[in-house]
Amino acid sequence: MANYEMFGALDALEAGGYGDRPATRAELQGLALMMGLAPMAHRVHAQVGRLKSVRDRVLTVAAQLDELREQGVIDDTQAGRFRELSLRVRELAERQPDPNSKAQGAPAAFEFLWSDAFEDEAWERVRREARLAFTALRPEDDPWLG
Amino acid sequence: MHVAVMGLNDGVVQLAERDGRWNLGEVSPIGHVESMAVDPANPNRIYAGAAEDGLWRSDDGGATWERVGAGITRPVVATVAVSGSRAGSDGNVVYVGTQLSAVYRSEDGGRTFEELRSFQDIPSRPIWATPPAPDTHHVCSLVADPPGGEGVILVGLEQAGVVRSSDGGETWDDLRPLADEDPHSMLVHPDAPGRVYIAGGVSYCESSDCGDSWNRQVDGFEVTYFDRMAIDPGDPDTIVISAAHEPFTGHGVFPSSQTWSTVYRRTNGSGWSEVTEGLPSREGTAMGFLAANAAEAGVFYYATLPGELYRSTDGGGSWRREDADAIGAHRVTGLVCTEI
Repeated sequence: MANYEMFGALDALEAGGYGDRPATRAELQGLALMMGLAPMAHRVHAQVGRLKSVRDRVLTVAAQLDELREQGVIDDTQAGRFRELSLRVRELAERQPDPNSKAQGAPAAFEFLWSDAFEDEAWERVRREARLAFTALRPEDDPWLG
Repeated sequence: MHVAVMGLNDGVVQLAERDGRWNLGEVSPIGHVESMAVDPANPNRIYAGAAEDGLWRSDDGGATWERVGAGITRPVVATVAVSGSRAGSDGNVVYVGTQLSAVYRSEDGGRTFEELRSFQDIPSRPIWATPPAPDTHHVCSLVADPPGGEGVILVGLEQAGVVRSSDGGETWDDLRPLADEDPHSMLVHPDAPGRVYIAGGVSYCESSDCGDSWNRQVDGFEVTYFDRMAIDPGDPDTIVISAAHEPFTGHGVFPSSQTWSTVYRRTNGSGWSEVTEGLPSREGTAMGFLAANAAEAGVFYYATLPGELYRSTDGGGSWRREDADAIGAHRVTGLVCTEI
């Protein structure tokens, strides 16, 4: 696991949320990471109750992108990529208000992990945009070894 | 003398055991160590892959290091492995896996490498990726010349799977079905011909035919995310493996949420079961690094990220924290053990 700045930025979200606090580049990168993970990882995050808070924070910070760009926190490309991601995430949110609920009532943890939850086209669109956003937001000197 | 060599986030350091105490050497600032390997033909020789800082070699059990690796043309060294049986002109043949994924081979103790170019032609390559970055993928584990399989090379690709060559890297079989698609650790044992072990991000799995076919083992596990592994040098059926529910809490990347990890063990005749005796608390402990010293049958080592060293002398059944110097502000990223 590389890039502790990015994970550190996500930490407050894990601890209970940022509210409307302005995002940092590292947080945007971390959010893109979370939305770009493989389907099984998304099933894990739904199981532990994290997927919805990440998704909601993506939608919150989408409203900050112009301001962050004007402040020089992110550049045009980074803002554009994250905006595209947020649009795909919003489409998904309208269809699936609480992704964590997919994991609730699953007959067994293992069975849910091996299921095909979050493997539809809408989620693949989100992952594609998230991975492009992640790459745009990644510092040039971060080799990202996962 | 027993030696534990810890890879660090900013270098590498040797701990040497004398009279029951582990004494810390000087940190060699070689960069962020991603992978280490001991030459089975020479326990004094250790290789360390230091991401963007290349490949390094020690010939004194990890006390001092020199930069090697001429000919590695990709910028990030992600994995280093040493052939189990094939000798080069200076120690056993060495393999390096990189990001973007490529495999290099050295016949001269790591000084010069040649790329196995046919690796680039594997049909599934376009779908390799290390999510969420669409433009990166890397080799995360590698086994060469496993017992009973001279010429076999198994390459683990992070979040893609395992590909296999049976002719020394001339040609490749594409992703092997049922091999874990996130094969963090891949090991073999000198007394178990054909057997290959994987601790992966999705499962624990084994092969009995040098990696051609695989089966996944789930009985006894209450988690699905595995990272590091060690096999008893004296018994190929005794295995320890680090485990977590998922990578984020398992690696402890969210400091304010509950970091959680554990260790599982399997012995001959028993299934997988969790081991806690003598190990740090599961709560608050990120997955550490497991290792075995080829000269110590029945002995395992476990290093936590802050550098605490634990040792088991009963094949992983119980553990004891060793009396060892602290590594200070460094963070452990790898562990190998050897005898000098």
